[in-house]
Amino acid sequence: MIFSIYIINKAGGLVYNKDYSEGLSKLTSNEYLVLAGTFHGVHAITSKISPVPGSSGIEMLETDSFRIHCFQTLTGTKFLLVADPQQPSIDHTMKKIYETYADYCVKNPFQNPEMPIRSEQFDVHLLKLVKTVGGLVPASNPYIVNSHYSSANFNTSGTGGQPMTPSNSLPPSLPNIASSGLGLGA
Amino acid sequence: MSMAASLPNVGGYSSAASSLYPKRGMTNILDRPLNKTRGTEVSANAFAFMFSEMLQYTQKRVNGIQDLERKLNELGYRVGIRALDLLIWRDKNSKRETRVLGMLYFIHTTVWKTMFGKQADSLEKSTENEDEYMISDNDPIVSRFISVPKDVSQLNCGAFMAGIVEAIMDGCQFPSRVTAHTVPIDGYPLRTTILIKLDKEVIEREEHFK
Repeated sequence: MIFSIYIINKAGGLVYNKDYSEGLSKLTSNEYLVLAGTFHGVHAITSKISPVPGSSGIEMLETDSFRIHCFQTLTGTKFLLVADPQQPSIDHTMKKIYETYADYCVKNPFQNPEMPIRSEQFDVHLLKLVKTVGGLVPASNPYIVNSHYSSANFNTSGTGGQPMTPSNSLPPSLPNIASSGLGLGA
Repeated sequence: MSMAASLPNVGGYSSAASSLYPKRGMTNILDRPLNKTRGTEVSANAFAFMFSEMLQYTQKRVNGIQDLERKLNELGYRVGIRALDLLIWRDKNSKRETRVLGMLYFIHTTVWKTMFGKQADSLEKSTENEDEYMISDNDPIVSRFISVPKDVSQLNCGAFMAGIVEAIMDGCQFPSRVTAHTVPIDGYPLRTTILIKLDKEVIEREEHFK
């Protein structure tokens, strides 16, 4: 199952986001931006602190209920894929998403690079792709938010472009940020 | 990661020919024989990128959508007039078309096949006007990767194709006005109809042949 696809430009701005799951709780548009910016930062940090020189940065972030896969292109655009931990052939899916992006965004004369993606054909073909690789999440999926996690430790109101600050005092560990930010059950 | 190799091929276009560097023994494109067509197809992706740039370039230099379509038509005209010469040179036993139907059929089959790698999907005569004919393409290669935004929704990038057709009609002594229209049907949202409105003199001449 594929939950969401995000595209982050090389400056860390969110240029595309799409949720493919019904029944999962939604983020506010501000939270999407914060998630993208945070991931961008985490990605930059992880590539610096890696003991192996020339490391690519974070590629996958795993929790009990979902994984966030990240693929960075040579130009610095990042594709984020939020999927079921059991979702097979992520690499292939990622490559297909990149192809779709190259076809319907990069070759589209009305699409400015690094700007939010408004391309009807991209939407259509991405949806088609998601349907072929995993299908849309049915409303009765087991990950519908009802658990104790469900964005309870994330102050959703008045974040106003501020860095993510979980309202509890625990130092945020990586999966925590993601799971709380996404509002998915863990 | 080489994108060019991983993208799907479209129509008769081959991405193998899209290599940036000429292979050893391969001749410069200008030195190749004109009448050899096999294996000399152009990458559809390269074309898509170029057409995209053409549109962006043109868009900066026009006022309004109609002006943009007119400019695209002009660009197509320049392509068409050259393509016509090439097609007639390549066709060993070509004869000069004198009748409208023969001419349109030539565009529908030969021209489309050479330029877009497939025949056009339909050739019809208008029921309302004697002097109007329509050639339709279900999935035109020029607008395959283009999503026209809402504020310029009247724009049809097929104006470029219309220009090509206009040049070929002109070059064969069938002066006409050619325009492109989006006529989506089930399963083919990009379907484009090229409307050919023949000049009066062509209709009069056609009457004499009867």
